[in-house]
Amino acid sequence: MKKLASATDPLWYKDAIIYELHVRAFADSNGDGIGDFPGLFSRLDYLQNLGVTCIWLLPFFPSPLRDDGYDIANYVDVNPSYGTLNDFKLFLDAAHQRNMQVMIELVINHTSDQHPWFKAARLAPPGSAARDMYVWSNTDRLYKDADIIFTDTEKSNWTWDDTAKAYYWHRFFSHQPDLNFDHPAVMEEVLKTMRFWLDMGVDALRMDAIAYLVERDGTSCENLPETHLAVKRIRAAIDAEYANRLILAEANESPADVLPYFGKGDECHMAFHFPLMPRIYMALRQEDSLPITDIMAQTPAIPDNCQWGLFLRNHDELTLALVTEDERDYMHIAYSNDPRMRVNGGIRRRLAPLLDNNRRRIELLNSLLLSFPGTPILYYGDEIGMGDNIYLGDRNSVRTPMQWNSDRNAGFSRCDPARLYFPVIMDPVYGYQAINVEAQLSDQSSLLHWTRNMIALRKLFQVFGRGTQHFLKPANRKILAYLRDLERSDGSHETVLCVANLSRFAQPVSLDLADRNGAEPVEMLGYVPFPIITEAPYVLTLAPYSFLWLELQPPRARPESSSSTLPAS
Amino acid sequence: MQNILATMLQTDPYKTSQPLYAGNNSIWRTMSDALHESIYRVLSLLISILPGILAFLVALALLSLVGLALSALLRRVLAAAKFDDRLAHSRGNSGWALSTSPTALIVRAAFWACVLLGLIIGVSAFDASYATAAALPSSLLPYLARVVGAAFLLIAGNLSARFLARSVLIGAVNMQLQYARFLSLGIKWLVLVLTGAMVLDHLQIGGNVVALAFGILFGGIVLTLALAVGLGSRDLVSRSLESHAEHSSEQSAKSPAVPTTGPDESIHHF
Amino acid sequence: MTEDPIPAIAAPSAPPGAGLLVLLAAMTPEPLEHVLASLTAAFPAEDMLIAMQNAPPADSYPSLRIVTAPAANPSWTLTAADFVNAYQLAEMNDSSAILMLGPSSSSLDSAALRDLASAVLTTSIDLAVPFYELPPRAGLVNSAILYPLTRALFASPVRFPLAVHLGLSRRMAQSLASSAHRFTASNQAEMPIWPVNEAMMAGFTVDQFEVGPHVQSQQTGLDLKTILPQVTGALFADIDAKAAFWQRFRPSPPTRHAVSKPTLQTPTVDAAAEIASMVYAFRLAYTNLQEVWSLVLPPSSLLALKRLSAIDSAAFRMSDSLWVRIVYDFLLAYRLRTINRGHLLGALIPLYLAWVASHINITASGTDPESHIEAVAAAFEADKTYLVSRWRWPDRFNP
Repeated sequence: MKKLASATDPLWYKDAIIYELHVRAFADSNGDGIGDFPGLFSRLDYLQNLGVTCIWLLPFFPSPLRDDGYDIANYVDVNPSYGTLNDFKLFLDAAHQRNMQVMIELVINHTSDQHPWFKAARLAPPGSAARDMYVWSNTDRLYKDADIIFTDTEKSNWTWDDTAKAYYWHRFFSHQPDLNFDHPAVMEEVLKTMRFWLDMGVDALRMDAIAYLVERDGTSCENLPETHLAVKRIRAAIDAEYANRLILAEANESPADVLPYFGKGDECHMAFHFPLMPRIYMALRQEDSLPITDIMAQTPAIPDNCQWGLFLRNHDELTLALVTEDERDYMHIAYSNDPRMRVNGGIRRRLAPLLDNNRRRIELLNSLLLSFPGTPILYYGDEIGMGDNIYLGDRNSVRTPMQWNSDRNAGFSRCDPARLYFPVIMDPVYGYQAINVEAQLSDQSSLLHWTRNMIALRKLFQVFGRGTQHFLKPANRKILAYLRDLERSDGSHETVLCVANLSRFAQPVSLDLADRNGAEPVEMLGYVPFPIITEAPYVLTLAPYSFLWLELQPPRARPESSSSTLPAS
Repeated sequence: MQNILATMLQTDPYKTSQPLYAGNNSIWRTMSDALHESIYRVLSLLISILPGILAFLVALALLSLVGLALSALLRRVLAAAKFDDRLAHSRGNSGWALSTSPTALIVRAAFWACVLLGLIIGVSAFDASYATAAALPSSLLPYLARVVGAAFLLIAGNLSARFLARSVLIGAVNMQLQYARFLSLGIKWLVLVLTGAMVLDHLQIGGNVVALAFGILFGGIVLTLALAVGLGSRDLVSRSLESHAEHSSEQSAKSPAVPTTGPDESIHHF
Repeated sequence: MTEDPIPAIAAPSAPPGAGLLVLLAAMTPEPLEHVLASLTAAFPAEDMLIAMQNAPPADSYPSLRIVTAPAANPSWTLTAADFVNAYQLAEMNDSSAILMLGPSSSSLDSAALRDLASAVLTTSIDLAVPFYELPPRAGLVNSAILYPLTRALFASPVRFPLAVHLGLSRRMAQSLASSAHRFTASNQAEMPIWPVNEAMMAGFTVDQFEVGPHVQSQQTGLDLKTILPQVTGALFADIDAKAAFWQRFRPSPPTRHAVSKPTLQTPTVDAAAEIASMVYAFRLAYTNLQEVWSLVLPPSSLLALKRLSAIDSAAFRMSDSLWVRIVYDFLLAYRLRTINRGHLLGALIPLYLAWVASHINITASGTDPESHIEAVAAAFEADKTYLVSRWRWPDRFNP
């Protein structure tokens, strides 16, 4: 039975607030130290209160868990540690009841080597249908122009399999063989999987590692035309049979290379804006808006029904693949002086530790996240300023249990602390006694309350998710100033002026707003009217790391008497 | 049960155990006697310790109170005498480098000195009252003092190891020695090994074996360092030899009073 | 307090007791003879009172009035003890001006001595500082650190702020003696004092006088590894002590009378070898001292140093702005005691050598050394806001 879509607006993702979490890390209900769906079910109220409208779940399918669930051994079931399929359905329905959409992963580039398909492919004779589900070769010289992605662990993209007596292709870990999209059966299976979940009512699919689907010799094996065709096929199937669903592409490429993933609005609905993210950190550290304005200038226009996905941090390392050599060196010196903080060329730290736990910097970056053109994606724990544990291997430093209260195990689980899948953060600065949801809910000045209020504010205005962005280039480069504008259906405009101070000292700025002459800026948080804009440069002063969101209201019809006194607020 | 109690409370240390081969009855009796005796011994030991513990606690508490009173009095007196200001005047303008004022430091020191005195008195009182056959290998108080001394030694050794390591690193780099980092690590471990040896020796643990082991380790590190210095400073030595030769030939070539003709192109930092 | 007007030195009848006090540092007999000869040629004996630590020469200068100065540890600069002694002797003998001559004063001729002395005796100048004519590659520590810092922070035009030979008025001597007293009282009598900074802070007049070429007679005893930390440390400490003054003072840039004659330097073989060794020293330090530098320098400087370490010695150039930031960050670390001060200044030496190598490369390619040094000093002035802002808000999260 096919469930109807829970979202009524086909463009619901433009106004969404996405919250990324891992079931394993969120809440444990049965005391085995591993988070599960019933636990997540019990925390839906918290997410609804926060203002989240879409929950993105990292892979929860049966898996040997050698890549944290991205190595999938069965596409159409739930890992028993996290619960049953029924638990998932209950959670899904509950989320829909609270007007929240759910996004799951569709990891189709590769499977685990424990997947029945691979086990069969190993034993099947070369050339058979079962064999061709994966990419085999007798030599490892094929596709030699393709990069190695997990440079810290893998030496080659080919691995020899003794049973099959051949090499198999894997862009990621050696236990994650790539599926062969040149084989029609693969696409059939993918569509079957997709239909299974969409029938159940899942609203969105994140296509992991979508750039690497198809390989061709002599190319970098990324973003090939055949890959786009495969994605288009998937999209066509979704459009034909379902309504108001979403495909989010994970393509860690430059903006120009990501653009094809939107197609002409017939491929993916959303894609992550990877290059913007490290530049935000660089701009903050260098106290210069140039890295941000530069990358946004390089970002091409996308089809009207498409949307960028913006994020400050995620479950992976802060990737530095798309910056120059010098910029990478700078980021390493500035943000990850300890070599233990680096993995695969990126930085594996959470938002708060990266910013030295400075509340103003955290708020500043979140304001950028919520006011830039795109859909914001919050990583679980960043709304309370959780810390990380760089002594855990791989990228697990940012995947520690959610800190709910100051009880045992941070309230994540009632099990013996030794059983936890990862230890909770315990240091004096970020430890669960200091940083937890319960404490922040009772503290009106906490980061959690601030995030909640900012999300609520953002939801009042559609311009943030749907409007255009135009950068004002003031002479003081430590100030980032931009106009967000949306033309409503009745012809009126919703315009917001955002001004952010990237410097740790107070800054003056003089903005050229002559084309908005007569508009009255009203500060959005306190609804405070600011001086009316004139032809002369508009002077503002900003405190360290502060930001202003000013809604530009159209000039009111004023009475003829010229005495204009601002009402006492 | 009453039997046992009666037996326990009997102070009859001269009761000997019965011969072994007096039959089954006597084996059980021997056993029960032995048990009774050992229970009696342990309980009497515990009972005899109790006064000692009490004395210890009383001494500590009393002297802590004395310390509190003394520190309050000292604070009053020093504040009235404006001790901080006088000290600042006599020291001149260099200022007091610490964040706590001298008065507060003295007051605190007095309080903790009294507490320490209380501890010492308590421990020796405990020692004195613990007068039974099963004596400790060494008296408790001196050993505690040694442990404290060993702890200080460890801390001091650590701090000086770090300081020396960095000094050597910077010095070696400025002398352009190749193995600067190696030298600095070597010095650090040398000092740490030395500290460890001194601490263990101070605590009288291990004795000769430990001393021998550390001696070997120490010698090994020193030898390695000497090799590193020797190998790494080949350039340095050759350069300094060359510059010596140049300098002496220059000196013999010109007299000091006559100024050099032509522009002087050598680099003078001062 | 104004000094008594003293008639010109050439006038014979000066009241006894008043006049010029000449304080000589301890010297070997031969340079001492030379200095006494110059002094005798410069001033009439009855206007001058000479105080020296050596025993007076037997009968060679009978007309000179000589007193014994208290013994002080010999040093190539003028130290705190010297200034205290100078003021005490001036008070005792009621002198109105003091000429302090260090151990290398045998290279000053009588005209120079007369200029220095008459400036403080007859005019209202409080501090007369010599302007040495040094060869282009001499006095590099002064050009790299001492001069730019004192010029940027105290707006002093003095090219050679390190006190080696000075002419002082009585009130200048008094002011210097009171600040020197702090050091002598706390057993630091060998600390160099910075009379130029004191003069600028007190609002006294300072002027410099050309004294011709100068040879540092103790060249062999001056080891960079000990002297640079000592001198730079003393200057940093002085800047730290006077923070309240230079942070508020916003002077106009001082004008410099152009004195140097531009000479075209062709690179010699020797210079290339020296440059290569300095670049090698810098590279070695970069690999070994990175942890120490990363405690002191911000990421952008570290990145620039990383790029610099990859350049070969022929093309080795350190940008002026990088050097300015390095000196300012080390000054801040000195104040904040980020690491032990001795270690900090020891870690500065390889960076200084890198600057020297870069400076020589720049001058070898045709730029006048003086104009490069002026450019460096101007860069120090331009970036003063960086120093002030980080001084007032020492945050480690900065570019």
